[in-house]
Amino acid sequence: MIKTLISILVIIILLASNSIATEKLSTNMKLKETERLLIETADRISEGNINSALKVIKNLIKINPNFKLAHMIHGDLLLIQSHNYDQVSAETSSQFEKKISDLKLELSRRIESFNNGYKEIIQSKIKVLLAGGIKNLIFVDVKSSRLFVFNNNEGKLKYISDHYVSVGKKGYGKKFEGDKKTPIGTYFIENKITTKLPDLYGAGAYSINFPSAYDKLNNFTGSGIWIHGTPSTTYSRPPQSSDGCIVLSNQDIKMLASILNETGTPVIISDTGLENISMRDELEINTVKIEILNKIQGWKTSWEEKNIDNYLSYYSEEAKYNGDSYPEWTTHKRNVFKRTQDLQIEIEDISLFEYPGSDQELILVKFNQNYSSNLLKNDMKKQQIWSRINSEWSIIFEGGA
Amino acid sequence: MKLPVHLLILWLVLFNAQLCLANDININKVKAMVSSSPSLALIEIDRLIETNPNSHNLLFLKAVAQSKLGEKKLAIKTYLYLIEIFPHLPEPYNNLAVLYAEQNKLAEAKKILQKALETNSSYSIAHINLGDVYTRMASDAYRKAFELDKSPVANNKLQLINELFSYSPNMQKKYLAVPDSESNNKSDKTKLADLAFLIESWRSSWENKDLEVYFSNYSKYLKIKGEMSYKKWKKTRTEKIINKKEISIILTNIKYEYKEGFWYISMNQAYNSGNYSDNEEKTLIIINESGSFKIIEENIKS
Repeated sequence: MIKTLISILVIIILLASNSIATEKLSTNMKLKETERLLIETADRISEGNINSALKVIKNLIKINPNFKLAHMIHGDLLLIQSHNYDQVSAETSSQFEKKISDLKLELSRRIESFNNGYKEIIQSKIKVLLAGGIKNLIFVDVKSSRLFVFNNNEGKLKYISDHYVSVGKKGYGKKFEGDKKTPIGTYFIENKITTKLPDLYGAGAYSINFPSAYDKLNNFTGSGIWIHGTPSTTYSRPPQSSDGCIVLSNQDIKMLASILNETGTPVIISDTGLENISMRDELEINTVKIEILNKIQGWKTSWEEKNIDNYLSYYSEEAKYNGDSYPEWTTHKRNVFKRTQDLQIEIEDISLFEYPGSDQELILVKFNQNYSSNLLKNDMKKQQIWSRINSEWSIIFEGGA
Repeated sequence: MKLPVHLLILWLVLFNAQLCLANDININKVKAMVSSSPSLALIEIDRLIETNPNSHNLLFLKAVAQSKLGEKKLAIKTYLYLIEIFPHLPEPYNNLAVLYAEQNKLAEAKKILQKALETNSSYSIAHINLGDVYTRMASDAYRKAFELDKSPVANNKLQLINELFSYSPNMQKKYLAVPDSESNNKSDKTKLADLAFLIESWRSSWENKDLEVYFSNYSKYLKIKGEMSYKKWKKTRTEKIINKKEISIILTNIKYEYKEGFWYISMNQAYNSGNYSDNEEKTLIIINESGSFKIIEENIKS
């Protein structure tokens, strides 16, 4: 079981590389009981106090009886006490190699995210502007197996909590039905699944809008990407173990129920990495937001003024519009503009969201549009994706939300 | 119940003297009976207990016999009674722990073994059994971690003590002789031969740098001085032996002594490796590990 014992060394190494861990314990103690007790176990081990490490890990098991990772560490500690680990090692380690490495990965992900301190930093580094109607935002960093919850504090993000999550068996960047990957992009909670579900989905399941209209444009396929809980037999699942869903512990899914229950809550699933995000320049982020808001204003004005050339200049020539090519679409638009009179457009509740997963810098824009003319009167929720192409922002996708 | 120390010692002296006079023959006979026919032994023990209600030897053998007959609950009761009236004897704790472990009451087994070690911290069988209890507990934890139906590690069989060897260590030297059965009968001659064979195997394999044989003479529970692991110890020993050109070891004045379940073999060891030689008074402590003798501790008189 030497290989399993290395899991303990993982903690010690992580601790050594970040001695401020203990200081951080005071913040968010309630929210992070699991990680806190793991760190405390590691602390006791690094002091050489196996007996009190055992006490802490037993406490963690008492709180989460089906926490496999805690059971493995408990086993390691007992084995250290037994002085028999050479013998046991030969019998078991090769047999459970996959399970052991899964649990070790879970351990390092949990501890890293606890130690790295990004949570306070990234709240000001995520490129979003939230309209008043949006209460919360969920940000999933697939690389660190972490889900962050932020509150909308007058348009700015305020950190609420963060949680360990599992993603797809084959990782992330979902393209096709059955590829066992978690999508990358910006999505929105649709609804709570209310049909009776198998135990696998745990204490609740919430669907998100994959594939989005934009995904469909990219010919992405698949369905049933949910945020859900764990089966009753286990407290958590390995970092990469779902068919593409985002999996939280039942304890966490219950805690977040009110937020997940809110249709339209944005869920940004990002592969950017927390370190990259934390290094972003806030001034640049604000510049992007202002640029996009100005662009939307300009786009709206050109429309109101029926300045068709100016209006069309906001759209990328490479974009596709409901299956039409750019020339077909522009011809149609020119015709409509000619026939339109008494045009009034109001735009309100603008939200901006970064849209990860593309080589280009993308911003998803959502707003309410009140349109009125001699031809048509309608209020709609609209979304656009703006892409920075050759340093200029252009619309590459537009549709109803 | 805890008696004042001076009272206890006195009482043991009297008690032991009486036991030797009255029951010397019977005890050995009963011991033999327990292994050959535990049910008959039990009747005999009950008869003897009537006149010696507080004989630790008889009570202990009673529990062993009950255990052999599968009367585990009764055996546990007897051990608990023994522990109550003789709390300083480590063996009943050990055997009680083994019975608990058999019933998968590992936490209880652990507690009891720790108590055995409180009464006698150098009680090696309790150490070994405690290690095995921990292994089984670890195995249980891994079963939960890896979602298995069965424990991944085969259940270690804990060692039962079938004879009562000692009082607490300092009393033992003064008041309890080595049990007669250990030195006089035929099987003990075989034992001595086996021990002599072990010593010779240990000496010659060292001299011939036959490491495989050399290490096979040691128990895997070898007590190593300092913080070294068995692996590390093996590595250092290997390097020390392999690097010598020629080794000569002459053992003289070898003495065998049996106490507390262990053989203490003391000797004079003359070591010569060409450019280095020394003379040491060494004691090897030997344990019977599932039928074969192994070195569990190596002491040098300084």
